[in-house]
Amino acid sequence: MIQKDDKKEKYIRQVCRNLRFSHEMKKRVESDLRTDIELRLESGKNMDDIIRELGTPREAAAYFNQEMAEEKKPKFSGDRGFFLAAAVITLVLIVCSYISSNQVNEVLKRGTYIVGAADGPTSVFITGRINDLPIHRIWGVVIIISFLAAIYLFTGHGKNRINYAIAIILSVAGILFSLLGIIYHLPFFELGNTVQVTFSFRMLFSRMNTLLIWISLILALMLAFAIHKRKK
Amino acid sequence: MTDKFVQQMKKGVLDMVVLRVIAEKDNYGYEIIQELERRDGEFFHLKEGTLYPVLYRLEDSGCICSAWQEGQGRSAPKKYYTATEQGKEVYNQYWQQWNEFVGCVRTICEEGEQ
Repeated sequence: MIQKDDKKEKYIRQVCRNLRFSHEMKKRVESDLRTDIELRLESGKNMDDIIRELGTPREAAAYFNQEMAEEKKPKFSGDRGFFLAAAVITLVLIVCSYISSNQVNEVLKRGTYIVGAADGPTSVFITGRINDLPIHRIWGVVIIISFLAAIYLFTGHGKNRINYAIAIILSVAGILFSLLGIIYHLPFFELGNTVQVTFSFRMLFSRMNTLLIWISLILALMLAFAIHKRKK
Repeated sequence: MTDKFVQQMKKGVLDMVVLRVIAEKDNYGYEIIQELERRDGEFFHLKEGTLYPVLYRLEDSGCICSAWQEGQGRSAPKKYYTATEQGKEVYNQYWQQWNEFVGCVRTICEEGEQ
């Protein structure tokens, strides 16, 4: 029984792998094909008989592709294209900045404390002494993985609950890391003799060109869209 | 030449005959193939690759809908198709138009013979 199921699943998998359709159409064909094979098995046929009737996986897939020529091209909607393009561009930017950040990392590793004068507000950039842990590298890797997870969800995968949960967690981690990165680069203002941490919206908006903000936004949008699609 | 002619005619009426079979009774894809072959195996010996596009076209246009039936015992769930009210109306229209079409073709061809 288990062998019969393995053969059946293997056949279906191989047929679907050779189909040139959109993901949704492949799922439809898979569900119908599975039902048809089940019914043939219940009528007393074995998988060898069925393969003789339907053809080898390649033959069956070729026949499907030929008959369903209109459904061959995946439907490429405008909004999906926009998000995917944005994701690809941002990933490229991340990789470039990751490569160039090696120089920044070297500077930060030395650990410098810069304190401004006590009279008047002064931007105070406090950089902690970074130990040997490559925080920026970890940050970059998390962002890249979270993007891949978001694309995985966005392209309609993640039907399995565990895979879906893992992809969601990774994407959310990417968003949080991006937001943390924004906060990490916010300046601190010194007022009087005390160093007071003040959140400045003006400074935040002036940094709208910051890659981190765009990464967070794009990741959040992709995630929201993927969740919305799944709920449908 | 005649094979191509038959293929073209078959493609033209497939929606109608499949809709007819489903309107009579809820069916699985394989059952539709078997039923068509039982009624007329000469012209309607279909393969899954020919039937599925028809089913999806009818489903997308709202003429039929699909559902899953839980398997009995250890058998797997199966997907079956049901005709909607809209589908039954569409079939009636197809049937009426088909009869008119056949009548016209017959008139043209028989007039030529006279």
